[in-house]
Amino acid sequence: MSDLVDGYPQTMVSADDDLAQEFEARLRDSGTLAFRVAYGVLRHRQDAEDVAQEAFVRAHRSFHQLRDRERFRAWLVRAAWRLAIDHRRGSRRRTTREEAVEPAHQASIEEAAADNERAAHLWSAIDALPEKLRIVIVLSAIEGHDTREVSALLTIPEGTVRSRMFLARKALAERLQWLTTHP
Amino acid sequence: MADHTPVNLPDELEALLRETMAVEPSPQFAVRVRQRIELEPRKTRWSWTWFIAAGAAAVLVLAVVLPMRFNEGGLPPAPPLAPPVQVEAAPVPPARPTSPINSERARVEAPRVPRVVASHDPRRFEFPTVIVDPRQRAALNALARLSAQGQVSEEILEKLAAAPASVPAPIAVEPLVVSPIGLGGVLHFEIERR
Repeated sequence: MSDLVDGYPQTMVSADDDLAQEFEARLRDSGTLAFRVAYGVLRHRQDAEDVAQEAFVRAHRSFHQLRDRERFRAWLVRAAWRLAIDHRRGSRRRTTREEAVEPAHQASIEEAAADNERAAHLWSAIDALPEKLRIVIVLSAIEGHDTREVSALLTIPEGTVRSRMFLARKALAERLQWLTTHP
Repeated sequence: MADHTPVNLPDELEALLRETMAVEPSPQFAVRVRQRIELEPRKTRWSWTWFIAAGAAAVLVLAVVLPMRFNEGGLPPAPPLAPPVQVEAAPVPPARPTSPINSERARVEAPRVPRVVASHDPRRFEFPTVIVDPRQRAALNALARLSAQGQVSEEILEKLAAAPASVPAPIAVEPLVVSPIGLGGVLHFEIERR
C-alpha cells in the first residue's frame, strides 16, 4: 500500500504512462496523415490543423480502445475526414481556401499562375466527386498509399478500393480532358 | 459487367495532385495537440458506465431486501387460510354453436358453474362421515373393548347371534275417522258441525 503515486497505485500510474507513451508515438506517426486528410477536404492549412487536432483529441479520449496502430490510423483518418467535411459545411472561411500550390521549382510567375489555375480546376473536379470516390483519390495521393493501404485505412475490401479508384479516375479524366488537351 | 481497365490520370495532373497533398503541418501542430490534450479533464477511475452499473445494482438490492423486511416484521401476520371448500361441479351443458354476434350474450347468460377446489394435500384427507346410531356405536365400542380384553368367546357370540334382536315397539297410531261430506258441500258440512 506504500506504492501510491498521486493517490493511485503504482500499477495504475504505470499503465497510464504506457498509454501516454503509445499515444505520443501515434501522434508522431500519424500527425501528418491526419493533417493531410483534413487538408484534402479543406485546403486551408490552419483549418486543417484545427481539424486534425480535434481528431487527435477525440482519439485520445478513446485511446484505450485504439491501441493497435492500424486500427488507430483507420479511426483517425475517418474522424479527420468527417470532421473536415463538417467543418467545411459550417465554415465561413471556405471561400478563402489556399488554392495556391507552392512548389519550390517554379521558373516564373506565369508558370506559377498556370499551375495554380490547373490545381484549382483539379480540386474543383475532385470536389464534384461523390464522397466515397473522393476519399479514395485523396488517400491514394497522400504518401503514395497503394490499394492495400487505402483498403486498410478505410476498412473496406481491396476490390472495392480498386473499383472506386477506377470510377474516380475515369470521372476526373472526363472532367479534366479539356485541361490536358488545351494546356 | 463494368470495364475495370485501369484509367490513369495524365501524368501532370497526377503529379500536381501528389504535390498538392505533400503539404506538411506547421512545427507547432504537435505542440498544440499535446497542449490541448493536457487541458482535457483527467479521466476518472470510475467511468460513467460504472456509475450506472452501481446504481442499477443498488436499486436491485433495495427491491429485493425491502419487501423481505416488510414481510418479516413490518406487517401484521396474515390470518390462516381457510380450508378449501369442495363443491360438486354441476354438469356443464354442451356448448351450442353460436354466431359471432350472439357469442357475447351467450357468454353472459351461460350458467355459472361453481369452481371445484380440489384438495391434493394427503395430510388433509378426511374419512367420510358415517351416521351411526349412538346405541350401536356404544355396543360396537363395548364389543371391541371386551374383545381386546379377551372376554369375548365364540360361545358368547353364538348366543348373541341366536338371541332375538331387540326391535323397538311399533308406534300405535289411532286411525282417523273422516265423515263423508254431504250433498251441500263443504260449507253445508261446516254449518252442520257448528
